[in-house]
Amino acid sequence: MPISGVVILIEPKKSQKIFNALKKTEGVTTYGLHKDIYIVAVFEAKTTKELETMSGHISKEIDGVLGVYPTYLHFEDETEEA
Amino acid sequence: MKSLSRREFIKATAASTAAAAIGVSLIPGMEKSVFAGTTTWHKSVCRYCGVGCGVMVGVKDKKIVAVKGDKECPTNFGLLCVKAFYLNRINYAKTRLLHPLVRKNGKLQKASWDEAMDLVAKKFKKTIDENGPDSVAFYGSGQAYTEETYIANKLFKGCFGTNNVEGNPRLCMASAVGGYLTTFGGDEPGGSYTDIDKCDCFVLIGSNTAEAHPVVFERIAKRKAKNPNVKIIIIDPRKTPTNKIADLHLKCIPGYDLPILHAMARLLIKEGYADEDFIKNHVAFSDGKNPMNYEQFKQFIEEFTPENAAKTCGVTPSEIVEAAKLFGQAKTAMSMWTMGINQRIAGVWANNLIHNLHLLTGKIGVPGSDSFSLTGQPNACGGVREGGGLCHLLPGHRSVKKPAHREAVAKIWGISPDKIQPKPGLHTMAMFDGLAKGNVKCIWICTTNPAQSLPNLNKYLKGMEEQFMVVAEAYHPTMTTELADVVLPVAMWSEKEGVYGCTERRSQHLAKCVDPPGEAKWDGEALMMLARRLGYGDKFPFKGPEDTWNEYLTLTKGTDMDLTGMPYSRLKKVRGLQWPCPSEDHPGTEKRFVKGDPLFKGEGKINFYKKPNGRAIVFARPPKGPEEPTDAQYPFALTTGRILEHWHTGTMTMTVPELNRAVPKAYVEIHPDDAKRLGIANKDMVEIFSRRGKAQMEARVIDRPRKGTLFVPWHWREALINLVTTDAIDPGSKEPEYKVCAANLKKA
Repeated sequence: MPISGVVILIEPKKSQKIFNALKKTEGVTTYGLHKDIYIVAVFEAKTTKELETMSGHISKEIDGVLGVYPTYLHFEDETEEA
Repeated sequence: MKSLSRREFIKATAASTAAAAIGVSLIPGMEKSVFAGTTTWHKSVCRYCGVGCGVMVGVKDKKIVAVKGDKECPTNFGLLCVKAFYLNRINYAKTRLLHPLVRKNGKLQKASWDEAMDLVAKKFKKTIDENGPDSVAFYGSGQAYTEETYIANKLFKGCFGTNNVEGNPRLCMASAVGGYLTTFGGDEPGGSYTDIDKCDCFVLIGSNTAEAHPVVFERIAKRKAKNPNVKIIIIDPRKTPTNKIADLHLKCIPGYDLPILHAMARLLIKEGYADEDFIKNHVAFSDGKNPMNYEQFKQFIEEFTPENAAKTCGVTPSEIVEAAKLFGQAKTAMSMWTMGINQRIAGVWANNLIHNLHLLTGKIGVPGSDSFSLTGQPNACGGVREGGGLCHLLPGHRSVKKPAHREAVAKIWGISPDKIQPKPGLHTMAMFDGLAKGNVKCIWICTTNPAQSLPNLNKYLKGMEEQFMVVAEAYHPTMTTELADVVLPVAMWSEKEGVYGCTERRSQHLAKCVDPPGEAKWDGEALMMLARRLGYGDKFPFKGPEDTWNEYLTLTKGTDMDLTGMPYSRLKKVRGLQWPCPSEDHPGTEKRFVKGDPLFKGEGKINFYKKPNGRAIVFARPPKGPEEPTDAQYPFALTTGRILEHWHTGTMTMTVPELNRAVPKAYVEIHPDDAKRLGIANKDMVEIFSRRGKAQMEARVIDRPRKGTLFVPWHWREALINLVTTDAIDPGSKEPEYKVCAANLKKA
């Protein structure tokens, strides 16, 4: 089951709205706003497809998100399935 | 810690690693714990674009089970882009080739390495004996490791005696090379990514940075978010995700941006933003053939008023004025560009005109300022540009034309200087034209897919099918392996060690993390098998990549790209080093041409020492448009490019089902006004056609391209847009004009 640690780069003025939107997104756990422009989050999903979908949704659909940058990707189970 | 479940542990690790990447300690000690346990971590570099992001590859039970951004790496500080979600998956794709294939009775069939290599050697020998060395060729890649390109270069140029050695960077970076060489006298940028952190004005021209170089985009966006006065100017025919951070977008007609750059230069001088001292001391002027003086240059650009330029380029005069003002007023400025500038028949000239802006204002050679080309492939700079993997080059930024260069290389290679031809070989398009005409009869293709990536493909596919073609590839089938006579299974990223050199002159070591699958071998070994069979084994005593790298280093000693201080023993410890780096105690060079650069001469603030008089050239280039302007029959300007989820011909990203499903099929972006006029609705199937060919795909009606422009991501073989594109080339760089051709479309 893939898990990814990500940094979400945001427009500072829209941080609260973005937090609210992230909280409604299934599989996303946030770990705070840092340096006014970064939200640390963890994506959990059943498949890497869902990770991709989550990332795409957040970067394209949530206003004020400038980019989603993975930093850690754990996919042991999926590798075994491949 | 013991109270955490395994899943909670992984989550905490993931969160802590993300936080660490931005310099935040979320759960003290947790980030370090990722190194504990049964997973072994190896230092590497991302396989995709040219940013050179450091990655750590986690291996357990001989399989890659995790990837994390390397927070120690100064190119990305731990951040990656979304393609990294699937970095491990490319190794385990079902399309990995596990054994050699040889064509028998028209079909590719399983063979042993000996059988395959005996056949290859026999064909190469016979062809060279009967038709001379220029009847064979090598076509490599900006994705191959430096050591592999080095071996191929030595074998073909030094042993076979042909300069028919090319690489796919000819298709993406050659115009940038031409621009740097003509303006500064030496290839590659003078600055570094660190300039981004001090830059006050960015010009992103012909670059969708957010999608093509996401980690560089993050650094720019961070700079702007922390410093709202930072300005970002985009010059591009399309609105893209990069526009999220733009202050000004000059949405020009494809192929017509040169007048904008001249008009900006004119305004910068007229409005007093020029650095007259810098010009006086460090700049010379030329019309491309003859020297000129400053006054003559001013006279040349006088016609490029904002109004005149705007008419040609399809933007407004006020936008040009604003762009010049923002650039001029900023204390520091960086220009960045990619294929939108390079893949043009005026690619070199466009590069020159970008450099002009920096030279006229002195915004170069100081922290926060540079004229900084972004690279599209992970080792286009390192392996091909620096390693000399093009038909006119030799390793260490040397030229085949110069006797002293040939002698220096021949000495290290242990051959007679006469063996290296003084005449450049066939550039990429001429090489494949040679195949089509039968002049080139044998070709070795390494880590690239020209049967999908060349422009105007109808002209070249038959030659690839008819001549003897060896393809060394990790995957099968690709459009190129399908046409091959022999396909060799080779190790890919993380299955072999070597060095990549990225955009900012940084060479980084990639560890071997796992064994290659099946019978796959290192590309270097495959090439040396050919060398041994043809009697050149003594020239290749290399036991592996490290020996190869060590010999290559000796060829860089004393050059402007001195890598002598970068043996494997050092590269394995550090997160890359920037050349010139002449000794093992040298820290590498963050900024060229200024104090701190070991080659810097004199007392001034900057010395462009690659030019005889230390002066960089400001060029008065004519405002050349595209080779094929639109007309009544072909009224649309077609431009192609990348999207975030896929890369090049999709041989890697399309083996990942998730990426495939994210963007499953080809599409063409068409402006809503154009779509309405033609009665085309979103998701209609359309046919795009030009004078050369046609391709069918889905319409995406969207307000992204400017009216009259079509944009097609070029990744899909099922909708082969390179049947439509033009193979017209820049006369200097020989790079094709993928970015503009005249086309039309209709409902399919």
